[in-house]
Amino acid sequence: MIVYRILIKSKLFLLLVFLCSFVVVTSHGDEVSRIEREAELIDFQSIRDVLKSDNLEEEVEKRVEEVQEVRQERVDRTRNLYNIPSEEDFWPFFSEYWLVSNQTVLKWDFRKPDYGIEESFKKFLEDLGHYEVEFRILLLDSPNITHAYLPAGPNRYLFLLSVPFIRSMDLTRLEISTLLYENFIRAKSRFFEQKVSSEKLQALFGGNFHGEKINMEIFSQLKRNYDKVLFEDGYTFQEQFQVTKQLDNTFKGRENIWNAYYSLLGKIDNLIKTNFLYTHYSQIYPSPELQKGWIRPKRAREF
Amino acid sequence: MKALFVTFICLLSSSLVASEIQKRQLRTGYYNQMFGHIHQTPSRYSTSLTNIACGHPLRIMSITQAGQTRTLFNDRWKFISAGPYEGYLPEKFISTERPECFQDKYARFYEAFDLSITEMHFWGRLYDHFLIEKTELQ
Repeated sequence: MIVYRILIKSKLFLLLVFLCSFVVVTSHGDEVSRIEREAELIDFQSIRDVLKSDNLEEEVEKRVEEVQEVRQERVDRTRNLYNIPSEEDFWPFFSEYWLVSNQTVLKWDFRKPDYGIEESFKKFLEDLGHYEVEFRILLLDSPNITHAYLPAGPNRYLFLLSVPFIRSMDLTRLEISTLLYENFIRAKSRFFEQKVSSEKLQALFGGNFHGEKINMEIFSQLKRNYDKVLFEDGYTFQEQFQVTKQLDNTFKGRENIWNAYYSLLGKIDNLIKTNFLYTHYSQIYPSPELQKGWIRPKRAREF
Repeated sequence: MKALFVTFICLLSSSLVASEIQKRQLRTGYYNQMFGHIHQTPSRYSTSLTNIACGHPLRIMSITQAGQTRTLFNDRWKFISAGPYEGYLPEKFISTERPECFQDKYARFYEAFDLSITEMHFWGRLYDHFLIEKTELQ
C-alpha cells in the first residue's frame, strides 16, 4: 500500500496514465473495458491535492467523462442485445419461421421443373407500373394451400403457390400472374397482418426485454393465427369484393389481362365444383363464382 | 518408334496440364440471408455440404481449367470456399460487406425461438427453393 501511494504521487506515473487515456480501447459484450478498469484502480479523490498543484484537474474531469461514456456504451450494448424487432423486421422472420415449421404440411422441399413463373410475374408487374418490388415465390407440392401471401416487410412480397393446383387447371403464365397479382393486392391491403396480429404483439414491436422474460406464448398464438387464416378462415366477402374490384379496374384497359383473369376465375370455379381436394377453396377465398359476377360487364339496356 | 513414343508422352502430359483445375481467390464475401446451404454443384437440388448462417465469411474463387477462367456457374452461382468446404452459392446471396443479420441485431430475441438443427437446415432449404425477383424501371 505504501509503495502504491509513492507510485501514485510520482508525476511520471500520472503522466503515463493520462497518455494511456487517449487510446480508447473498448471491450465487447458485458466485459469491463480497460479504461473502466484503470478508473477503478486510480482513486482521483485521494490524489486531488497533487492534481490541483499540477493543474491537472481538467484532465481528470475529461477522463471521468470519458470513462462514463465508455461505461454507458457498454451498458447500451448489453441492453441492445435484448431488442425486439420492429414490425418491418419481424414479419419476414416470422413468416419464414412459420414456413419452416410447416414444411411437412406444405411440402415445399421438392424437385420441380423451371416454370419461369418469377420472370413472367416480374414482367407482369413492370407492365403494370410496379417498380422496385422484391418478391419471393415458394412453390408447394400440396393442395393444402392453393395460393396465398405472407407478410414479408415493406415493399417485399412472399407468395405461396400450389403446383398441383395450377397443374390441375393447366393455367397459362398470364393466368398465374393474375392469380399472384390478386395476392399482391391483398398484401398491399395488409388484410393478413390485421387478422393474425394482436394488441400484445403490436405492443412488443421495437421494444426491449432486458431484465425480463419475453412472453413466447404471444408467438405461439400468432403461429396458430397463421394456421387459422391460411387453412380455415381465409378472407371475408367484403375483402374479396374489394380485391376483385381493384383488379377489375386495373385490368380494364388491358383486354388480354382482363380476359386471362376472367378465364382464371372460371377455371377455379369449375375445379372447386368437380375436385374434392379443393372444396375448401371457397371457405378461404369466397367465391370464384361471385367474383365472376362482380366483374362481369353489365349488358347495355335495350331500348 | 522411339520418337513416336516420346511424342505420345508429351501430348499426354500436356493434356493433363491443360485439364488441371486451378482455383484462385478473387475476394471475400459474406452470406446475406438467414440460413443457407453450400452446394456440391451449382444447382438448388444438389447435395448440401454444410448449413451456414447469415454473416458467414466466404472466399469467392475463380476456377481455371484448360486455359478458361470461370467465375460464374450455371448463370447465377459462385464457387466459394468456407472453412474446410468448397462448393457453390447463388450470387445474390453473397454480399461484399458484412450484412446486418437478424441473428445479430436481435440476438436474444432470436435465441428465444430456440431453433433446432433440423429447423436451421430447412430454413436454409427455404432459400434454395425461393424464386426471387425484383422489378426494375425499364
